[in-house]
Amino acid sequence: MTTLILQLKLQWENQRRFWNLFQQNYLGMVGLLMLTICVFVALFCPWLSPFDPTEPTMEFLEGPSSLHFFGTDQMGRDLFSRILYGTKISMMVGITAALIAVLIGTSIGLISGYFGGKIGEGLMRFTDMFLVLPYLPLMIILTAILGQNQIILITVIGVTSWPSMARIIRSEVLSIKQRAFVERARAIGASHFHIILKHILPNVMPLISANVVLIIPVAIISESTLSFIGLGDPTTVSWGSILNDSLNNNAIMMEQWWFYLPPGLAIVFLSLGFSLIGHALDEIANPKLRKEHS
Amino acid sequence: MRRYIFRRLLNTVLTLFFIIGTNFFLFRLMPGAPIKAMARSQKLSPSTVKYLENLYGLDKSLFEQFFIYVKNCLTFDMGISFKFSTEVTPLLFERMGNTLILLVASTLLAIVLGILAGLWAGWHRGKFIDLSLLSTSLFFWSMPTFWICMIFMALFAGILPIGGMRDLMLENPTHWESFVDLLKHIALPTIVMTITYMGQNLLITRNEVTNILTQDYIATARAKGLSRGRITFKHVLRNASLPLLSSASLSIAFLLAGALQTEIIFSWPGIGRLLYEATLTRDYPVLQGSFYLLSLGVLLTNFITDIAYKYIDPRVEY
Repeated sequence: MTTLILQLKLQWENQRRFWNLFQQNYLGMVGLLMLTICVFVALFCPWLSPFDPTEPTMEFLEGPSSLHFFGTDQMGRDLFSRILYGTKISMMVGITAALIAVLIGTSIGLISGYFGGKIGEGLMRFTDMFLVLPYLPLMIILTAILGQNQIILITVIGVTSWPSMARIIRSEVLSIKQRAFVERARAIGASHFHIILKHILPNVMPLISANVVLIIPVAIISESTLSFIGLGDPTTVSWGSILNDSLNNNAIMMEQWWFYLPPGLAIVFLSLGFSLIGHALDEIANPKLRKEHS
Repeated sequence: MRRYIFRRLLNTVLTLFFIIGTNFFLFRLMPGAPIKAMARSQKLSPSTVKYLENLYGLDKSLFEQFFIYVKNCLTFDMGISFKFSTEVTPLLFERMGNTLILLVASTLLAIVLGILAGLWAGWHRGKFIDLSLLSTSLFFWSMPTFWICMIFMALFAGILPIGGMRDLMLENPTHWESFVDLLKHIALPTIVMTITYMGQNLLITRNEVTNILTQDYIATARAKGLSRGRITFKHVLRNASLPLLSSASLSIAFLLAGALQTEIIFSWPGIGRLLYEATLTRDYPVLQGSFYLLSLGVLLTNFITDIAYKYIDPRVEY
């Protein structure tokens, strides 16, 4: 009982120390604020949006007004509501795709770093192969062939975004492996599985979480790029597909700025929020970066 | 050195086979029978199916098919385009040339401007100019490239041409006139690609400057009156060249992604635009061919930069 309380107390202390460090990072706090706004919008978009985002009306391509804050698109749909709903899609796709990428990247990095030798070398060659592949053409081809829906989109982005992660985790594992406590655990007779799970993984965890948050904005931009190219899920409302509509309807030449500025700004806002938090986490997780700044 | 080159070459060839394999199996994973998907019709008579299967060699075993496919890839026999009804290969090479013009122009500009801006920021570390350069590059970094293209298109429409590669209305242009015309058309795509790619060169150079300036021997040298220019050329640039080169070789895929989006929006007749159009019309031979050629380009550039890296820094192992 007392050990449990001690453990909880230790965890609480750790979290408070982490939070203190994070609070000192001005840009990280700005990112957190930006992200909070986006989460709020994503959760409450059905109540926040004045119109149904998929309901066509007869008011085509109208400019901003007190009724339609960001005007309407070529099918008379309210752009403000579409952008609010787009937040949910972007976050969902970005976060799930990043989680897939991290799952693959972490397992490959852990295995290749811990076991080393032939397995490690082989896995790293495999990673290098993926790293040089032109990722956008690959994503385009994959979605064009496999079909256009949300699940395929998420999988394609996740499966093409892991290689850099694998390299980062591997180099960290290589240095942790040398530390005394790992050797001690091995001397007692702990299994590889136990050492990886109980000793190595907790130590790379901060780095993993920083990288998840750094991969999310990349995944969000990938999603909007694919939707912009016309390879997104046609049934969902996404910022990229709004921009695709605006390009197809020649909104730039018609000077319909409300059609292409707000969705782009939304993408920048969300991905910048994640990047700022990610860099702050990276600075905390990576002692080298922290020292340089103070 | 010879051993190093051999190893890199082996790696490149292995990756090439990996790409060919991916390409081969991907297009056989297509939902529905490949022939129906390729002919884009569900209503085919059995004899037509048989004829087409024979034509594409789909009646052979998978192993045999793969063998033929590898041979075709290595001899650049990429089949016939559904849309253009011509051989894919000459089309690909023509478009690749246009993409290369764009890539070379923007990469050179991005490296030169990136280094200059990085030096500027580094010498004024922590000052206003440093912070504004850094935040601008972070801002552009979180912008999707295609959206930057759209913004620039809106800003410069009417001032610069916003589409295509040459003015078709120009009658019997002299060499000089067509060159100026090309410059005008390439301006916007190049500006956008330079902006997106400049940031990382800026960061590398800036960090190298700050790194060098904190070294004790530089402090001594400066106290003795070593000039800024000398520090820049003798120490900063020499040290920055390695990370610049390695980041360049890692960002070829990133550059290509940027080129693809730029070509789509500014209708630049490059291979990215071709890939995009092939996606829309489901022109599978062109899709497959352009992916293969793009990957091959990336692989070759990587191989060359690796050799160059070894040449500059002979310590590199593996």
